[in-house]
Amino acid sequence: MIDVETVMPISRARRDRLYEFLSQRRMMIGFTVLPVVLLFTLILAFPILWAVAASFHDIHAFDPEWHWVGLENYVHYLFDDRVFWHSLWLSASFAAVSVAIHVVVGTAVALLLNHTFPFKKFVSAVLFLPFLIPTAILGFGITYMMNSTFGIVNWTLVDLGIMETTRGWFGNPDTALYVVAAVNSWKFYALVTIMVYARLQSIPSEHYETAKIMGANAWERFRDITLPNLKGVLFLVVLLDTIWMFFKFDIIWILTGEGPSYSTRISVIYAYQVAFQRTALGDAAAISVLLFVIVGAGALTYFYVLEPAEEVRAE
Amino acid sequence: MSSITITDLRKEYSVKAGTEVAVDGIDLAIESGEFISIVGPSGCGKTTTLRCIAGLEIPTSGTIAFDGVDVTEVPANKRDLAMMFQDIALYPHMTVRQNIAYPLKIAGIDKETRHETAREAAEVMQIGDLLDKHPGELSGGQQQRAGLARTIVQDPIAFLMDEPLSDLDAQLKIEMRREIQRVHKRLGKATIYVTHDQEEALTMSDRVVVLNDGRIEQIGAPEAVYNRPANAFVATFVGNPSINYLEGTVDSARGDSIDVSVHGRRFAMDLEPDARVSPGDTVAVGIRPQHVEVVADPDTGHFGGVLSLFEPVDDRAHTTVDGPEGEFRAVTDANAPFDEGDEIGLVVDEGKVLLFDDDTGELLARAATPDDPVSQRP
Amino acid sequence: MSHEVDREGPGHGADREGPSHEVDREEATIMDYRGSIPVWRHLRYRHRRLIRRSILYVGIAFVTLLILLPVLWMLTSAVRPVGDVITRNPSLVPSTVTVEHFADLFFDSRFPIYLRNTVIVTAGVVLLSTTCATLGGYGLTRIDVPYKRTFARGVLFTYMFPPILLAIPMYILWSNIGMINTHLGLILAITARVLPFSLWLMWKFFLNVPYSLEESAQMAGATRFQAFKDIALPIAKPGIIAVAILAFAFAWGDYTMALVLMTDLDMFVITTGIEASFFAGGQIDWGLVLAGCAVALIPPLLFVYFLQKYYVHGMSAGGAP
Repeated sequence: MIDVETVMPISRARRDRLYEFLSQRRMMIGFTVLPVVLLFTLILAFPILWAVAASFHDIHAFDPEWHWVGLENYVHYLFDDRVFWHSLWLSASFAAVSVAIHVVVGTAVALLLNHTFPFKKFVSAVLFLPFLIPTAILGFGITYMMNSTFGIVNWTLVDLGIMETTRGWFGNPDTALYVVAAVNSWKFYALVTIMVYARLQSIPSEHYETAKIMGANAWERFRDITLPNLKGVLFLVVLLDTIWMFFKFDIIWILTGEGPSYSTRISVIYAYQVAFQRTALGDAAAISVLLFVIVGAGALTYFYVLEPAEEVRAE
Repeated sequence: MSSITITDLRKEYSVKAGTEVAVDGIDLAIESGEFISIVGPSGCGKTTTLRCIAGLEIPTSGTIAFDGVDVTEVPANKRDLAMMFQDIALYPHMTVRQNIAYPLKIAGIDKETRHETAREAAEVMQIGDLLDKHPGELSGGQQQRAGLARTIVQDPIAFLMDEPLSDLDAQLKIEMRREIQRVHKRLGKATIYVTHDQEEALTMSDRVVVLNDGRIEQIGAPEAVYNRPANAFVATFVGNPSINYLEGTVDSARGDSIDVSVHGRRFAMDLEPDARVSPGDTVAVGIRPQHVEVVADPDTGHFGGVLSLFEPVDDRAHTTVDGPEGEFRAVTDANAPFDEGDEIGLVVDEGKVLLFDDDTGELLARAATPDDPVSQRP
Repeated sequence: MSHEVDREGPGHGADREGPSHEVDREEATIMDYRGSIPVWRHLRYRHRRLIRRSILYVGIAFVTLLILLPVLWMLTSAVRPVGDVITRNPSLVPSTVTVEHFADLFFDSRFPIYLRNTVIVTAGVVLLSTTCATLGGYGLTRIDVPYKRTFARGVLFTYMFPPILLAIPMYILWSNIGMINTHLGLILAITARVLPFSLWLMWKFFLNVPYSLEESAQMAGATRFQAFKDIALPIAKPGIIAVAILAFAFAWGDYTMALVLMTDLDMFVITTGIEASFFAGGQIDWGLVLAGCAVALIPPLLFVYFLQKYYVHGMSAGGAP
């Protein structure tokens, strides 16, 4: 045995004592879990509870006084406010169209990526790039490129003979919301691609080989092996994506704001306007809570009705 | 030099349904320099026992003492033990050299010395040329060697091994068994070796501890555990293929010797100390497959039957016979002239028969002419 | 559907799901099948492969261009002279390359202030959330803390809380405690968005690091803290990098939180700043907008090139900035 005491200089002994001190269960909890719990309380739990409390009050941004109004805010938005209900409908439409595009395009791209081809590293870098590009920057770039007078998108389409003349993409109340959804998909399809691709990579090639030997053709292999394997991840991705798209704010706010004839005034934009243009913070808090309850209820229903496989349940 | 004494060790886990007892009162004394195996089926508490000795688990009750000093509450890193884990647990981000030298780094040895020691240890384990590789680049056997080298440099008071060879293929297993024994002989430190493989336990150890359901069934030398199992559990667990049981009746009991008849055959046996039987009792007669000879004439042996399965294993063959009470296993020569379906006779080595209590499974008696020295029972 | 009945022995059809082929297998011979083989199967394998490959390549090229061209267009437009930026028929490759927009951006606009704010906030978020997520993820997997599962689920649940819905209560709370228009206020707000996911990611990551590695270090004499520092932390490096990239992406590209919580023009970040300064008053200064966007695009381009595998790992668990 090495005689530690004689070899060890004083500073080492002190450092070892520090390690011992930190290794106590109390200390381990203190420096690992405790910061997260504190932070979580300060920046998540507390504001959310604060908002719930605020929703029972009449609060204005420049008036420090909170006036208790009970359920009045809720009653108002649930029963008297047609704008709120219409905004919910717009949010749902935006989410539905977005998720449909993401899932179809995202899965297709993931299936393409699952093959081997030259420059794959470069191609996958490009395909995953949009996800890192700030949504606002995408918004500014699209505003430039889809400008009705000089936008490259317009002129390319005209030059190719696809369109007669240029158009203001975001000026038509009937389509503005869906054009935004399509533009937004340029970025968010990658979420589906990445998750599906990761799952595809984990399917053992033996499964395909067995099926091949049994005589299954490409379509049958896709139907009987690929699709069942993707069920779990698609379930999860549809849930997450729906929630995010339902609450998407930045891209819509930048591209169209409330839109031509309020056609893109989805719920979160409405909540934002109530909070910061009408400065009715209590009302905005009530809308927030309502939205969260509605989406939460929807998510839970989705979860329990479709009964996902154990693997996708959050740990 | 250093002995390890375990007294009334208990370990309970709280599970959803209440508490689960993993180790249920174990007493064990491990002498310095001894190679002791703890063997048992999965879930018998052998790994938990080892982890309690290591200090990775705190026992619910009971004490663990090294050289008479109670270390039950001493954390693992202060116990001066070395341990081989089932998954070897080489650090993937370090080279083999850094892996082997890590215990020395913790001990505060300067870099040059510890790398020198690591190189020596690696050379002992014949992996001196792999020092700069990462564990991921090594084969299974090389990883084992590196893991073993890492325990050697620690110079511990005892080595703990938690099924280190269970993931290796058969040939490598035998090779590594020899390596572990070589290291054991060379260093002369106590080694506690946990395995579910009874063959491994029997071939490597000075003493074997058979564990079942958190309790010790028997402690003894490998020959004792094999030839004089304390009860039917040990007899069944130890030995491959596993022992045959036939129903027998006690004919007569005079003092220490009794006669038992099995399907019309009579065996003379010596009663174990403390065992008590009376004529007419139903007992279980245990006959190891190795102690049965298969002969061509169905009328020659103690029993007859039809050969239903003949499986050659190297120079021996495992046979299954439709015997007096259904399936009966026997080991014979691989080139024995039998075909499946043949009527054959079974000759039992009368000196090797064991007798167990039909209810408790306790060993009652052994054949009247024991060839083996009697060894201790727990 | 499949017509490759000639490959199947009797009975194999039953092993499969889906409609089986109604061909009388008993009497059929190879000759009888000729007619039912589609044109596709008449092609040689080599030709079929060629066609398949071509379709694959065309598809991949199309998607890649669809992603790449807008980015390239934005980047090249940033170096075009003003006249070329808003022209009816721009040349694909800029005829004249100019850095005038960048010069204006850095020496004659508020952009440097926005950039400074963004860098401070991003650094803060990356540091805070990566540290907390790594430590917390480790603690939740390795230490038996009461209610830890409930806590982890609760954290993940708040991940569903959308930024704008978090921003409104934060605005109310922050304005009460004077944290509006502070870097710390925005750092905390963005961390609130990043933390749930990164904690979950690190938790999952440490679950996959065998505990026996640390136990083995303890047997070698290391304290629990040393086992964490020497073994668990280095092994978790890929996870930590993934979490850091995610945090970076959230913070660098944040718009919503900054829009709500930073109301003073001197506290704007690049996204809100570009909008506020260069879009102002209906007169959009496209040269500055594009130059600003180009600057904002540099880190994503670098990350995707150099750290792709880490960030794909993080994203594949479902992180969305």
